[in-house]
Amino acid sequence: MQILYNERYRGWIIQSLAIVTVLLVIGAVANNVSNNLAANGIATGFGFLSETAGYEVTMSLIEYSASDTHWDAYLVGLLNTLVVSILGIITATLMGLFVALGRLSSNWLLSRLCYAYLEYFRNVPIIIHLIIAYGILLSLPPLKRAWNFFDMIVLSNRGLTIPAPQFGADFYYVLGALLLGFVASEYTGRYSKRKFDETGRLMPYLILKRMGLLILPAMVVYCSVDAPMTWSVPVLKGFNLQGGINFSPEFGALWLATTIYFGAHISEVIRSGILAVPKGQLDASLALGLRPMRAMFLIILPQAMRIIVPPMANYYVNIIKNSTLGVAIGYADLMSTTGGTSLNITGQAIECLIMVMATFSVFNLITAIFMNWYNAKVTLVER
Amino acid sequence: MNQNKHKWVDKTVAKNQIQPNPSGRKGLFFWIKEKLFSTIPDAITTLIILALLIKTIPGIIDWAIISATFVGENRDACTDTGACWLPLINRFSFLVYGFYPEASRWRVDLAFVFGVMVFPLLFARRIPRIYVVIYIGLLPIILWGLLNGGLILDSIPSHAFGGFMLTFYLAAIGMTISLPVAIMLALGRQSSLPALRWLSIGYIEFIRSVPIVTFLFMASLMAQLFLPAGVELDQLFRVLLVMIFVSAAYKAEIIRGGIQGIPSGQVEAAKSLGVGYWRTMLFVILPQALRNTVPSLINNFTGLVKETSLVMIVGLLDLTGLAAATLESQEWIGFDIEIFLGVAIIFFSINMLISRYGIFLEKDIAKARV
Repeated sequence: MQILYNERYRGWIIQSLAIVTVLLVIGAVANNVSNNLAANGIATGFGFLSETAGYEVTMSLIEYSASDTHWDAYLVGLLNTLVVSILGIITATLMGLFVALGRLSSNWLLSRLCYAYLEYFRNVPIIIHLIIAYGILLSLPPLKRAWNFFDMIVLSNRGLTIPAPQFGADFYYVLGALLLGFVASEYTGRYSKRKFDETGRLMPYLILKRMGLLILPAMVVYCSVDAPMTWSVPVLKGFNLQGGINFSPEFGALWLATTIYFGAHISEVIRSGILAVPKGQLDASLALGLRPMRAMFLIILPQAMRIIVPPMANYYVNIIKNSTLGVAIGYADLMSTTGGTSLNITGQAIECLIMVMATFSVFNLITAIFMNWYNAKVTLVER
Repeated sequence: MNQNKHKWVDKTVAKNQIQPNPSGRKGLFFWIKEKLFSTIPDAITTLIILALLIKTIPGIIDWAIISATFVGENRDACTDTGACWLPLINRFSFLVYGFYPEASRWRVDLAFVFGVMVFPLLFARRIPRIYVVIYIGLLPIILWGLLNGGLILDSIPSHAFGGFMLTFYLAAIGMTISLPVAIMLALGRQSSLPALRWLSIGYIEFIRSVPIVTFLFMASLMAQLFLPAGVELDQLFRVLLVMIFVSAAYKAEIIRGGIQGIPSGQVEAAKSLGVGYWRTMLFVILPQALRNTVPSLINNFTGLVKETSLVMIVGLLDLTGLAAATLESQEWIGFDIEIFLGVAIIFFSINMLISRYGIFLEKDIAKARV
């Protein structure tokens, strides 16, 4: 009994109890799982990944058909999740920035409008936005009466179809030239920054020069080599479009819902960051003769970044995780290919869900590492 | 020359003196000029927004109210030009109570009252905190006893749960039970015992890095795999467990922030007075930390209310799920916009009220601290 009152021994006892309990629970669950699997005659292991999947998906950015394997289905889902997450992150951030600036505007009407937007979209579950957006996209005209822009872009209730680039063998030269141009442009940028720090003189037309350096070599190579790239244009054949890349209405709805819902949340983060910058900063920059827009983008936003970045990282992770809501409307993301249809067909529930969970953990890790790096870059460097 | 200079000074002084009376800087006209047309880009923005509003608002009002149908037996009563609110109005009690037996609906009403009572209690200063804590602690038991029944009242099967009542059930029980779990996790994460700390960190970070939909899928599709043969858990109960244990991980991080905000001198003072760990936490740290995190926790609560709508993915018929099911019935097919707009407005009003209340509490706490 004496031992219980000794702080050090008590700590050890509590810790070993906790570890033993956790191990016992894990052991019991593992035992149940293996018993149940044996009773149902399900084999374990990832061998099922090389079997034929046997199902179609609503949207695929790579070549995929029902005769491909479950691993291919996983890749399709992974790519779809990534595309909708990355595009969603970009548009939600832009939306958030616009709404935040709108709310801070001195124009009463604009700021009230942005406030109404913010309160409505932030307080309603994203899944309802998703369903409403899906309903609106499905009520677009059918393929026969689709909106057709120059026979290149087709918008109908089957989604948006745009021309797809088809790369020839010589395309690598173009890529190489583009890389070269990128390095040159980056170098010019660094050089002009150093000159600016030393002499205070801005290099004239810096943006134009950098753009030119970036694009020109690639364009010259593109024109000189033989057919580096052709476009596959959507053509109506029978009841379907052939060629081009199709973005399904499910994708559109998920992207739209992500943009408006997280745009509303992000706008609050950006707004509070901007408000946290002392007002004297704006006054001083206006007194020095900067125009309001330049003051905002050169003085206020860089300082606001320090406050904005950490919560923003949280929302970016949330955007990636919320892309799984696509299952509600049948978007072919990771959760509905590997975590849904593959799981149901093969019965390999544990393996499939482990794959989904591991993938999302990796996404989160990458986002966290990137945002930490970016945060370190924008934080105040003190002397 | 000298005279000229004086003239100039006189002129500016005179100019300054005939500046408009400050009282002229008020009034509607001045307000419009200053707030809507202060610069040319500003004026253009205002005009564009006004044009958009004038173009859309009358149409929306006409659609939603003037040409809309509010009374009628079935869809034949609806007009083509206006909204048809009949699916919401005629099925109102269905959307609120789900499939709950009609004779027992007073239990649901009573449960709503018990749930809403928390908000005035959180604010009333006259009532000692300990009673509020006890009330919140008892709330899930009261709600369970009222809605599920079994002990005093006759038990209602969980497949009868649906509609707004299910949303309320998940949110209220999820919030009240996940709170103590979250406190334990936050304390574990701050603990000086490495095994406890790393277990808590592992749990919190794992749960937070995986989408909740994955856990809902697990609970609804794979639960049988994890349980011993012959044991069965009700689906609603499994989903409720997911809500509690996922939400706890997020709340744990909020509470950890609150605990870290307490100066370490508080712990040291308690220790030097010979107060043990649990007493220090219960009577010194947690009361302060929780008070500071109430606004964030209320914010988290609005998130939980929104998250309950995800259970429709695994086939539970909460408010959103019932709305989707209404659309699939032969009678009300094709009224997507009306039905989901109705559901959206319900969620909007609830979350708006809760977050307003959170802002109110935040100000109250700030006032109390001064």
